[in-house]
Amino acid sequence: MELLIVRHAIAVEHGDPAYKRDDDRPLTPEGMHKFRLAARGLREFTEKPDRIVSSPLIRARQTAEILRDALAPDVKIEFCDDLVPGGDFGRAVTFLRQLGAERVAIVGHEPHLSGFTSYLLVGEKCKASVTYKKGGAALITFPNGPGAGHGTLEWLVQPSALREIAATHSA
Amino acid sequence: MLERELKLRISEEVGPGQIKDVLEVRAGLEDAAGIQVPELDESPFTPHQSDRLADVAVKNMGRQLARMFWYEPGTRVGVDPEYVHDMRVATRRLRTALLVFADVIPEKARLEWQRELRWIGRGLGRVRDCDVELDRVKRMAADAPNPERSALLIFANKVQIKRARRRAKLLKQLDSTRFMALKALARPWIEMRADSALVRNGDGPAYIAGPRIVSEWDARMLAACRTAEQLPTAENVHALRISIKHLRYAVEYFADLEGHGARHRAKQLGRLQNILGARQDAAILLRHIRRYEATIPEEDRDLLLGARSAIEKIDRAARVKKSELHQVLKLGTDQWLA
Repeated sequence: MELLIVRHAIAVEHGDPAYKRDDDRPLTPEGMHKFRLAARGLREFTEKPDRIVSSPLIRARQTAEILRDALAPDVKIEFCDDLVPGGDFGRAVTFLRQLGAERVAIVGHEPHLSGFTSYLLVGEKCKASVTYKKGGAALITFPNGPGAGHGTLEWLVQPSALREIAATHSA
Repeated sequence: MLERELKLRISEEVGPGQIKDVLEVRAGLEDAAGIQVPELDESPFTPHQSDRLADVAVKNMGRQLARMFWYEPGTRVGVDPEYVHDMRVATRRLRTALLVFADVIPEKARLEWQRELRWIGRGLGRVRDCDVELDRVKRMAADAPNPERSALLIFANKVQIKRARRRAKLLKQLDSTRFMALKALARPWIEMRADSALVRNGDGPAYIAGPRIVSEWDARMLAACRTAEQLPTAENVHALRISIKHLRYAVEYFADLEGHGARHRAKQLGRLQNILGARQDAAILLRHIRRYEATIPEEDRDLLLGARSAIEKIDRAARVKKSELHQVLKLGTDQWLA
């Protein structure tokens, strides 16, 4: 299985008085513009995902929609409560396993995603030091299906590099 | 869905577990807003044939103030944008009432009311403008092909963020001591204590003064019609729309004395106001979406093309057609001649 991990794009700042609940913070227009270009970069070197799973929070959902439009317009976005900050890694793995898909893209939040990546690579959440910028992405492969410590990190690319790739290919 | 959302929002305001049933929503709204919602029974505000002009002024001010505060809890909860709209309309009708009844409301009180209503009306208007824009953009996006749809949806997201910030400011206004003072100022009007502190006496019966006042606003609308006919600039068409709005409200203030004909006339004027209002809304949207288009990165050519295609459509919708202006002018003039 190939797992594409994506962190949500730039959202309204935490603590903005207009959003009392942190869960309600949406992407900014700048975040949407930048991630549209980054998603085009992703399209250049990733396969089309069979399933797209997002955290249910609005900023992740909006990111997943842009990702879907760029990579797999016919794929429906699904939601997993264990992709929210503080979600359980073990349950998230079970969720992914139950999908039974060859290629899955997930969209979530930091620091949850870096902890989850470490969990997938070495079996513990703090052992491997991985950081995703907003709109950044990584690909992990599992020869025998997803599990704690069973993954191999194929690549991790930050959003500026993804946008560069998109610009190079459209020129 | 609405019931669930209402309960969620209210429970955030008054504490979870306090809302057991949607029937308690009204009580919840009162608790959330921290005030008692006045009843919407408007019968005490109905003018009678024996009323003086001062009585009609007090009743109309009282009616609109009662409406304004009745819509306040719904505005605070924020589930239904119509509450903001209705509260804002009440402030607009109040401001027009201050002009229409200028002869009987002392100047000091009028100026104070104008200032305070402009203050709260502006806060409401800023949220309402976003609602109007969002509604239009989302409807356009639903039917648009993809690059245009994406541009419209990103623009809608931008408006949504602006709305959330404006709403937070509006809630601050509603929580302020200034708004509390405005409520205290409104109380004698809602209770219809038509004493000398509120209105001047000796203005004679309203059924005589009413037609005279309405004819003054008629004349102003006709003048605006003539100006817009000679020079149909955006400013002149806007001035015409405002004059139609003022006349419509003036007619409505005396409609209970004038009967069915006046109510029909107010409706006709409302139609004219709506025709020009829709163009005005599109013109404002056009300005905003052009500003948004300038922020799209040049590398995203699809999105730029999509935004430009949307701009063309909105530009067409914002233009007042000659035939339309002619229709408004004709109806406006016929109104006056009638």
